[in-house]
Amino acid sequence: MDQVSYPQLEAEQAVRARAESTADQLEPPVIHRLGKQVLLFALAAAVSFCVTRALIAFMHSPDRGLPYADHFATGDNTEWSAYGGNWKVESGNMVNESNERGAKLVAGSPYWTNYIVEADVALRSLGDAGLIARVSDAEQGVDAYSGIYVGLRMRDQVLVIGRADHDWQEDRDESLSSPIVPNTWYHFQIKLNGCTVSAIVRREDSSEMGRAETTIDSCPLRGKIGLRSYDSGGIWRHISVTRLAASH
Amino acid sequence: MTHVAVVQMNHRGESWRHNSRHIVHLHYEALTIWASVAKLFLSRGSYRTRLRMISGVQIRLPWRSPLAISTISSRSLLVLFLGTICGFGVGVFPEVAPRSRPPEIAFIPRTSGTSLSEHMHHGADRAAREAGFRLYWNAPSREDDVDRQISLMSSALGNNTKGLILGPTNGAALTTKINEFIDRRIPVVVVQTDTPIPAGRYITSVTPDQDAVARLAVTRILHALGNGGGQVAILGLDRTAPETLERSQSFLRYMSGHQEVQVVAQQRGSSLAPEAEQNAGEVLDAFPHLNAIFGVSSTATVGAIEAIQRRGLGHSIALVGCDDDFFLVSDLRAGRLDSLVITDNDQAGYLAAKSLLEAIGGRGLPKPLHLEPRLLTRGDL
Repeated sequence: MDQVSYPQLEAEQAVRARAESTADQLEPPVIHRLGKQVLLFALAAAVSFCVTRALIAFMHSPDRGLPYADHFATGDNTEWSAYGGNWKVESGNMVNESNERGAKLVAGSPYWTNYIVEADVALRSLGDAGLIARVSDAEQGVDAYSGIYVGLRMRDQVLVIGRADHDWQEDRDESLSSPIVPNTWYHFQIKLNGCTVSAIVRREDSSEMGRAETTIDSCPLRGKIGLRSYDSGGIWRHISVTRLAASH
Repeated sequence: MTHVAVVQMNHRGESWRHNSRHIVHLHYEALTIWASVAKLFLSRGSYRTRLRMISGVQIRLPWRSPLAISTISSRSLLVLFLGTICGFGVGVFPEVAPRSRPPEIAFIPRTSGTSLSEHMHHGADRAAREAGFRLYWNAPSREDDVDRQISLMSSALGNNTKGLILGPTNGAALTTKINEFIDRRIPVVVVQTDTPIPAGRYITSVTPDQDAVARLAVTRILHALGNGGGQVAILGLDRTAPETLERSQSFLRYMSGHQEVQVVAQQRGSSLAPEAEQNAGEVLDAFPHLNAIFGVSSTATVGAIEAIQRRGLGHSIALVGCDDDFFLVSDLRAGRLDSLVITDNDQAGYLAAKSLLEAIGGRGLPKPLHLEPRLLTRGDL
């Protein structure tokens, strides 16, 4: 084994230390540093962009929040937005005590597209009441929203389907197999598939009372759900929304 | 393959080595950067301290890195931060970018969801589209909701509307708000009734010729009564709707020339159909030999129909109503009233919007326009 003398070792260590120190002090060329910063900036921007877009895509997903149900088990109705009317939760029901024309209560995601909305609805007086779907741009006012309305109309005893876009275009009014009785539950099932809207209304004993289907021109394609009454108070319960499978 | 990085820290301005405790195992330098950012947020101490700690991180690698990032300086962190913000901004921009919208005019009638207002809406919308404008449309859900109409007018002002078409719920109550528009030189066209303040450079009206409405009603009632004459009642006088008073006055003037006809009642009106029905019922009960009714508003006519039907007087009283509203045309088809005096509301809406758009274009508002009404009978349907 070779013996290394102490002076030689010290000299080698000194050279190594000097070399390290010099390397530490060396500044990379300016262009090199600039390239690094640009690369870093691009990398950060790309990652941030991807994360942001992924988050937005998630937030805008038509499936987000589905299936949805509200049985008004508690008095908490903060997720609902009222546009006119006098709304309150009472024994598991949502009640509108006002006869205001076009009173609305809206909930859900503005990005829901094709779905089935179901609820039990009871009219309280003359006028009409039902459900709205694909709601956007809602305001207080008779037809002050963009969306599709399906309801029972007492005056001419029909199941009505129409489109509101801050005005009213009635698409279908189907006669009912029996008269509408105030304060009686009717089960609504509304399917929205593209611009095709089909609605079935059943009595409490599940027998069919009315059915209508229509294809609406230039229909709204996405939006929230809601409860609506016109010149009649109303009661709603067991609201549910489920995604409509492509095969439907 | 795992690379070893030796971390040097700069704490409180003093350089010191921490080779053994601060060894970070990383596969890529990029990960090192993100680890530093995570450290910034996850480590203990104030953010200032953490930032100082992070900015002093120096990583030495045992090989020459393709990225050659051996030091995360405060400048690098700033670049990282700016890149993140930039990426976030670009990602979010399509969602928040202001969409170019055409200039807007507002139409706020007394109420909406009635056939009268909807016809006007369609006419005004057509004119607005032709001129490349957007029409904002909303109204109170009740004809007497002055507060809501004021609120909608305020919203229109806030939205920088270029002009307003207004069907006043109560002209007197709206004068202050109308003057606000005029003060800002925003033109206003009043429909359904005359302007509550004198027409001028920034305000005009497009209304039915109220005198002609009364004249047509008188002619029809005289025809229905025949030579024998009879008792007539006027229903629906409402001070908040001046057109009802105008129609009534003109009706009385034309009737004054016919001694065989006696106007026995001039009943007050209401914007609510049940109240209108009650008012009509009072007149029917007070004058059992009544031969004809002139309903000066659509609500008064609806109320009269309900009251007459409830009393089974359908074929003994000639009811002449005004305005194509609610379900009056279907009532006419069903024979529940004799006739209706109507104006072309689509045309009224179109002309109102046209006048407004001309004023916005700098050509000034025209003088008040009076549209010729016509009598609609069951035979016309």
